Amino acid sequence: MKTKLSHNTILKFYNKQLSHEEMKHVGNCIDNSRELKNILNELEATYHLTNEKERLENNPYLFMEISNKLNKNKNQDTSYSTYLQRVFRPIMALSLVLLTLYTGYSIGNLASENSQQFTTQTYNSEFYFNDLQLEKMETVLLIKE
Amino acid sequence: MTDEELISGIIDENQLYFKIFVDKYQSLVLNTCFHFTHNKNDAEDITQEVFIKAYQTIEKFTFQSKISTWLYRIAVNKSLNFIRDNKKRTIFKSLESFFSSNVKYNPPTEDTLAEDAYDDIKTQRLISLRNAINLLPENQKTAFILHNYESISYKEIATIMDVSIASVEGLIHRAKLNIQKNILKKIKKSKSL
Repeated sequence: MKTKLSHNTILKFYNKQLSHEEMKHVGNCIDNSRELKNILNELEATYHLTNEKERLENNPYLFMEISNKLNKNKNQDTSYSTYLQRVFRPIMALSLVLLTLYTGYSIGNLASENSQQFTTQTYNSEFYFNDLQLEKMETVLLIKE
Repeated sequence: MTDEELISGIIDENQLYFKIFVDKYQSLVLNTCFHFTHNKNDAEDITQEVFIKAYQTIEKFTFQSKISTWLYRIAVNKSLNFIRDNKKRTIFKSLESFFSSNVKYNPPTEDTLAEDAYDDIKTQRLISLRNAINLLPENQKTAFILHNYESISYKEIATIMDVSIASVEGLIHRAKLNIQKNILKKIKKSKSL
């Protein structure tokens, strides 16, 4: 006979939280089903392991390891070089960033100034050059008239 | 030597007193951390952190509770933080392995168990139980571990967790039911495979 019981019913039966009648009925169901019997046995065996109190052995070197760590922390906290590093590192990084930005800005400005000068000059020279080249005698006379 | 004498000695930076303190409470801290992490190496690392924290903050200890209660509280907090960080790391590692190769990532809870003993039924049941405990919410897990493995009274657990005694009772009851439910799910899952 294949019987299906919910998790809650099995757990209530396992913890004996059902009424007398229900306990009897569920008990019969479990007796008739090999699968349910196996499940209940496995649950009992696994949960029973909570009674086994595993204990670790003490580590004889624990105090040594702790005092080493404490000394290391103390040295790190008091050492002058670390203090300097902590103070000067952000300052150095910030000044480097500012210097880079300023250099970039200056180079950019220099380039734009140069290009402006260059374009004006060429434009001017082209203008005069073209004028001289294109302006024929007839046109000059026409304008003057 | 009383705890008061030990503490005043540690505050005076007497290393011998600190060594006695570590030796006296090592087992308590180490085993609490182990029941949270299920890994010996991790438990030892957290134990070191617990004692370092205790050493650094011992001046603030006001004797309003037992020193063991104070140490339990530090140990529980450190262990829970470790588990949270480990979860994040596990997610990243599994993502990494998913994208880089098809190698299956093994969860760290099974690290401590020797591979040759893996087939042993008892070992499998122990893994199943540990996984069931790991699936519990943090407060249920803390209450259950302290009560079941450290045999601490409800009153002391309430002080450690900063909740009422009635809450501790409720948490332990729910934890037991949830562990059973998680084990049952696992059994049914393995039977259906």
